[in-house]
Amino acid sequence: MRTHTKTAPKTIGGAAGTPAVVLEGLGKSFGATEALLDVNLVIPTGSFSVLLGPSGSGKSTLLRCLAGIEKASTGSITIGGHVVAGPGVHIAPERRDLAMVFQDYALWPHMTVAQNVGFALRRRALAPPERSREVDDFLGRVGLDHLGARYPSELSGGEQQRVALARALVGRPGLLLFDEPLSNLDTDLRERLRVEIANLTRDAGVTAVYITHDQTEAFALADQVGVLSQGRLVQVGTPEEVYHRPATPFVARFTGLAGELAGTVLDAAALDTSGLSQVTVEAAGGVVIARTHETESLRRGDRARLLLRAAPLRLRDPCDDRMVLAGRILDVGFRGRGYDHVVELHGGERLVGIFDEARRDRGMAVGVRCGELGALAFPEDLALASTD
Amino acid sequence: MSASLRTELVGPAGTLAPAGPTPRLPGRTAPTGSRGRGRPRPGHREGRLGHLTAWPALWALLAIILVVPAACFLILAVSPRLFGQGPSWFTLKAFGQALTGPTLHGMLNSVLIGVAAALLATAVAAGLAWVAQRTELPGRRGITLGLWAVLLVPTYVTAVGWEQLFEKGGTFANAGLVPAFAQRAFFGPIGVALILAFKGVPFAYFALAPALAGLGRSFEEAARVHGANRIATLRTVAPILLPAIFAALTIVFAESVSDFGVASTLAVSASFPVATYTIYSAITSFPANFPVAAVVGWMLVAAVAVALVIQDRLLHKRSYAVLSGRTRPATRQRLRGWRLAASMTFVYGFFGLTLVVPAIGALVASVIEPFTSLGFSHLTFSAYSGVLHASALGPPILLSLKMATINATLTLLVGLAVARALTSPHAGITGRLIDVVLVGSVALPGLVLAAGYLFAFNLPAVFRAGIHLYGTLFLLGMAYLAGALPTNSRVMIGPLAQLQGSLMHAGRVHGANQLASFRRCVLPLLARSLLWAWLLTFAGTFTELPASELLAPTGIQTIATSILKVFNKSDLVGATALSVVEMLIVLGVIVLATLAFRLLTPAGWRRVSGELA
Repeated sequence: MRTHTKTAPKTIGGAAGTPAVVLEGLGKSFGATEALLDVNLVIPTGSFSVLLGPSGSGKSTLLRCLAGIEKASTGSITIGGHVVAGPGVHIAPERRDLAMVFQDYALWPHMTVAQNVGFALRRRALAPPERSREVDDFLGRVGLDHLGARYPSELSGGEQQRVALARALVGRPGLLLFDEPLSNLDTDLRERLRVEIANLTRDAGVTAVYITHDQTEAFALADQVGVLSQGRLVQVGTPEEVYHRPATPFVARFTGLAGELAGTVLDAAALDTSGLSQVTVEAAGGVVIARTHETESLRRGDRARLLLRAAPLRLRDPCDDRMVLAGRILDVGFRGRGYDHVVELHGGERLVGIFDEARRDRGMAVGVRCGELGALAFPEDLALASTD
Repeated sequence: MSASLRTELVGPAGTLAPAGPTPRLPGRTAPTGSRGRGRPRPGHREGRLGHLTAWPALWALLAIILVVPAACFLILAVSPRLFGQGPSWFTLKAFGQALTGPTLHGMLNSVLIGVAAALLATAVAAGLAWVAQRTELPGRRGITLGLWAVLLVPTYVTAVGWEQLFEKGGTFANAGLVPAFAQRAFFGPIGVALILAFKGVPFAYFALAPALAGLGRSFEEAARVHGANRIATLRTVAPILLPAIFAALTIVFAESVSDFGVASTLAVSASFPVATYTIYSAITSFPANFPVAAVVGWMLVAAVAVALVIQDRLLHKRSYAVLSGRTRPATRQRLRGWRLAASMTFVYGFFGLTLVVPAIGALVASVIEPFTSLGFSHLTFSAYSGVLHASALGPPILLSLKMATINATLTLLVGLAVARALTSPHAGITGRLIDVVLVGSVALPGLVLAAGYLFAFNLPAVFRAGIHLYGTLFLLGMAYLAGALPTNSRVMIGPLAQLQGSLMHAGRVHGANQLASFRRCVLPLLARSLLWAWLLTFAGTFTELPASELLAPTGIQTIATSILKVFNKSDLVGATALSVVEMLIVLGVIVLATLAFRLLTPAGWRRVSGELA
């Protein structure tokens, strides 16, 4: 599942119900630059989907195509069963029954908070008292019921983002789009607002598409995650699937690694319960048992690249066990519950973020054991070619 | 050159460059639809008519009003036969004529005066920018306002006002207030350069001030913590402002060499020939010598081009980017003692010399009987009553009011469309080309453009084609539009570029169609900028001289040509009184318009649009 060719659209997860959004062969180019290439995706109604990717991967373009701000060059977009973009068709943003939370909030500075939120009610022909009640209700939900008369410039960044959220929700849209809404906030506020976004969106029962470059945010929020690279959708799945069974070395790297090791396959075993093969690889002077879905490409004697997750790595005292890789502590950092260590293995490879409750001082000789699900093996040429 | 603004030449970081396609305003998407709630409707074909017609229409407009007249006039210099002006298809004879005697002398004078005015204006503007951006001088907020006032006063009005002060046998000279050496200096290159420098200060200021403000304090702090004292810090940080400094020098130089207001008043009184007046003389003499006028036009364009090339060479391949989202604003210095006194003297002295003195000079001189000394016994309003009762004066004022109102409105609409097209992310190469044409036109002296009109629309071929615009007010209106459009559209590019595209997008995705999104979400943010753009065009057109002088139909006068006519009759007092009336009308319109804006717009509009203006 390295790339998606023109096949049937992928369904995010297995949620039941009519798809809210269907993308078929979606492409977008800006002059000679192709920002999106043949994206096929189905987003079920009521799901919270996160599109994850680095800068320039095409996630913003995809979201803007969904919103109707950008016109798709090829392919089609169907929202709620209606084609909103396709050959010769482009439905204007205001007629797509959606709302959006922008990265820069996009609050109109000449309108008060209440006016900003009330703007999105124009789709619903409400009487003024009811309109006012709705605005107050949604401002209350985001904890800003006392700030309706203020102007956006009189609010903090977090408050502004809450207003943007209330504006997006108040119109009860069929689809809610989030364009990296937390990227301008500090860490503590990000965490709190992330929880609010998750709760308010799910309470409203709205289908949400959220883009981010932060895999922690993606995994925490998503029912389903789609990973984009260079304009292509390279993997779609639950957060667990994407983390434990990355389709490509790129997905594995982008979702967080402790480090990489080069090695040689000693043995290849049968499929395990998750549908992956198990391979034994000699690397860094020891032996690592890894999983792979490249069964055909990794046979005894082949060169392999091991991609190690940090969480399953454990520190041990140095020993003769070949399953324990020998190294020394290069750096250590306090993390509250314990310590994150950086270990340099004897071959010079570095592994970062290895947690242990006990502090190991710099220079200390240690062993590193890779636990179950901790290592992923790819053919070396494939792993080295996939550097984006 | 028209008395229009040149601030548009100043890029975001104070560079003299076309504005890039920075903002993310939406492209033309689907036709607007209903506001009804509900699921998206089945798709329909998007109208592409706008896409297909917008650029060609814009090109056609620019070609007719700008490119063709200017190009015809300039080509004439080397190919008179092409336009039936001589026997040769290609000749440099006109260059030979122009590069001798008084014509060459006038050109050299223009360049020297331009350099002097640029240096002086930039130095003064740097001082004002420092006071406005880096000190807590009382009244510093009024500096920008004062500079707008300086900008709005045409150079011929300033020149006439100052002439009143220095005139031999005038009221002030008779009162013994003007030393002889000052009188001699004023009626010569020094006076001409001084008035052009005064006029240039606002241009230089608008180039320097944003750069100084955007510099923040981190560069200075970095220099100080690494051991530099105040002077070493200044030496280290000042070069970062080089693009803005060069921009200021180039703008003032371009403005000065192409000025016609001082050229047709003070320079004539001082018998000091400059290039623009030699163009005027060549065209208005009998028989008219268009080829020589065209050569001088070439030389003016070349002088500006050389200045731009020098600027480009000096800054080549060096990055001066200082603005970023992380820039921390600089701290302001609280001035005390001699610093406070010196700064106040400098700022108030400047505005005294540029606004108050000529205004008082003009006012006093226009209410004192000519060739008498100061005193209540000589007080007379005869100049004003003469001006106001002259049966010939009403029509010029009304005509100028009408033309200025129409032109300001038309220019605003077209300029906004041009600016929006240029700031669109879909502008592409066509957009860049239009941008180049507009920037080039800004550097084209107004007099050369007017001469181009005079020539191009008077060609037999044009008459044979059934185009009979020569000698009509319509042609004058076209010239006004051509003169104002480059400036106006570039003035609009700034505020449009500052707008976050997401504000418009947010309107669309939350249910408003394109027009409603613009009206409700974007227009309020642009309102004050639009108002000022309108007022600037209004004031520029109302007081416009070169095109009016060359293109007004026979027997019809604008207020500016009336002033020049009175001045040419050596009636300095009458010309002064008329200038005062002219300025009062402009001031009245500005006051009325800003008052209307204050009273009629919602609080939110006034609250924010000032931030973008």
